[in-house]
Amino acid sequence: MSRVEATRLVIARELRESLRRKAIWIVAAILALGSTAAVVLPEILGGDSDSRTIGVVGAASADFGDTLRQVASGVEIEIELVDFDDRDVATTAVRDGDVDAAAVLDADPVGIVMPTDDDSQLETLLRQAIGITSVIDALTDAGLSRAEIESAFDSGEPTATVLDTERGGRRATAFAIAIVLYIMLLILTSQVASGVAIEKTNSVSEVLLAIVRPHALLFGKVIGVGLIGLFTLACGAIPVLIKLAAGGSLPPGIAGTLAGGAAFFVIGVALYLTTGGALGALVGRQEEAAAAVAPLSVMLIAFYIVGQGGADSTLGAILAYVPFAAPMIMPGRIALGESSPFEIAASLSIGIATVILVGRLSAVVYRRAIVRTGRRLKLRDALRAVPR
Amino acid sequence: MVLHDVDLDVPPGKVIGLLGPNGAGKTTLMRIIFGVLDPDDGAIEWKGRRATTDDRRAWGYMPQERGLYRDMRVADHLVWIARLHGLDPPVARAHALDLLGRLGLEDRARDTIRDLSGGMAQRVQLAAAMVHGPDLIVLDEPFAGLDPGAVEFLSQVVLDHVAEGRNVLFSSHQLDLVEDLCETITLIDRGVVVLHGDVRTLKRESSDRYLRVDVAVEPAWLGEAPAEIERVDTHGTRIKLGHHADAAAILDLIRSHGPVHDFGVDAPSLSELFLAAAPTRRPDDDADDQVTTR
Repeated sequence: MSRVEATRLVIARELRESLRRKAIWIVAAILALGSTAAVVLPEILGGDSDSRTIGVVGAASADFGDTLRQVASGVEIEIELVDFDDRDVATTAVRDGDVDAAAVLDADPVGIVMPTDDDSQLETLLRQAIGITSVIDALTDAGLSRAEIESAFDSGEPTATVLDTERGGRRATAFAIAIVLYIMLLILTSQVASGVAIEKTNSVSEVLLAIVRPHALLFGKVIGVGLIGLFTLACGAIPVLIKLAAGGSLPPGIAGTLAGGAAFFVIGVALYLTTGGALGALVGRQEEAAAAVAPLSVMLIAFYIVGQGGADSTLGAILAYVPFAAPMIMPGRIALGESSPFEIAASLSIGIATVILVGRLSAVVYRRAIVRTGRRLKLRDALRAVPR
Repeated sequence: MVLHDVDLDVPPGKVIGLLGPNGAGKTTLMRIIFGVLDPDDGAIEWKGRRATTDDRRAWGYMPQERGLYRDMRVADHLVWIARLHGLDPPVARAHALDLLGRLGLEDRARDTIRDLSGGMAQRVQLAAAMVHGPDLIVLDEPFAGLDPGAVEFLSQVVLDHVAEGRNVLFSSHQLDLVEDLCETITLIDRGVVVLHGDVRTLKRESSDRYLRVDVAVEPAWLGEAPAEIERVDTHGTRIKLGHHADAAAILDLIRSHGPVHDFGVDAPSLSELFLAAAPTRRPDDDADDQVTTR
């Protein structure tokens, strides 16, 4: 039995036993549904523009309706007007929900009736429209012609130049991808650790070590659990990819972030899961698995927080080259367009080199610790133990 | 140091027992045999040369701590272990199902290990050690926690294996339980061999003899006779005879206090041989027991 063949059999067992459980399918279904919803819902909801119905009392100026429609169109709200005879009728209509608000234009001062104080946007629009209308009235009274008034308003209109219109969207994309990677790594790491701890404490490893080399057991489990993680991740990514292929509009920067996320996810899986497996082998009892990987979890949480808050900060730029941090930092940096191709290549290379190093160290720790049953071992002791 | 100068020979066609109290070093020796632990000195030899990794992977091992994936199905588990040993899938499946049939578990093939009773799980564990058809099987405390029927069943499997000219090594701390099963024993205590050899020869060569009677004997009845009471239980009394003691005279002393319906002069049992060889330890002593009983 070759090493590769033994590892392949261990992986195959991991996959088959995982896929036999309901939990994995539930998680996959939730991810797929959630992702589909995130992709499809904006399409459905995005078609309808917002609209409001406004009651008007006393059409003192025909300009009010036009002005309100114009200011409301700036924030993509459609306005429909309904005339009322007096303030009381309008107030009742607002209270009954027949109209969203009412403007009482024949009073002095002019009044606004709102059902609640929730819709401050509509209130602002109404105030703006009333203000502009009264300015137009005043200018007309002062003898200005219609054309003069319109040109005065037009020249005052500022033009806004937004340099990076997609940064907000990219930040959201990076946020979403990072949180998924973070949760996956956290779950998978503890899954490997507790899997190894169960094998050790149930003495399954005792039976297996007489048949296969410890390497095959550790790496087979890491790869198996990692593949299951990738499978669930794919369930979440497939709707996005389908939409991408169909040419639909997606959150900006998602393609690059997904590719980067996948690459760094693989490195993260290799690093965290291998280390988790070695730490899991140190335990004396099954319940100690969570405590054994606690340092890893804390590290992951810290890097995740930096990744969320400051992937584009100086700290983020430094952590981009730290292998255990890169999976949490790099997707954000790629999404925000902060990372250069050199940085990505360098970070990936350092990551791969570290995977090899950590793999070797973990195999040593695992091999020594898995046969030492009884009390929980310290990592230091497992590393220091004379190889025998 | 757990083991010191332990020499063990496991010839084919014979049931070899590695016996001794808990903590004697039996499991350590077995782990060394399988290369799970490395000895400071000494070697494991197979067919006249140093055992290789491939040799070891061809053997079968049933550890004392039962080790199976509790969530796996019985047949799946056995097939998987057979495949780890290098068997092709159809052969692995055939072996697994054949063995389940021989062990009376054919209708539990699709159950998970978790759903089996202790005795059944034990049989599956044995099947896991034999599914690849090994020449040598090594069983660590195979009878621990089993009812007499299960002990009988497992013993038969072991005897069948050696009847095919193959090798069996098993360990036990329940010396009297396995007395009839092994032909050759190695008794170890605290890592050293205290007794070794063919069971019948050992018994024959021992100068100790025991008088067994079916009544409860009181020490005063024996008077000055060269004999001492070893044990009194519901079956009666076991009396260790001194050298040159006259068993018939001692029996007469007892009969003068009441009728004796059954009696006999026995060679020592395995645990009595062990006690004679390592008088400071009792075979069933256990570190845990000492903590709880004192």
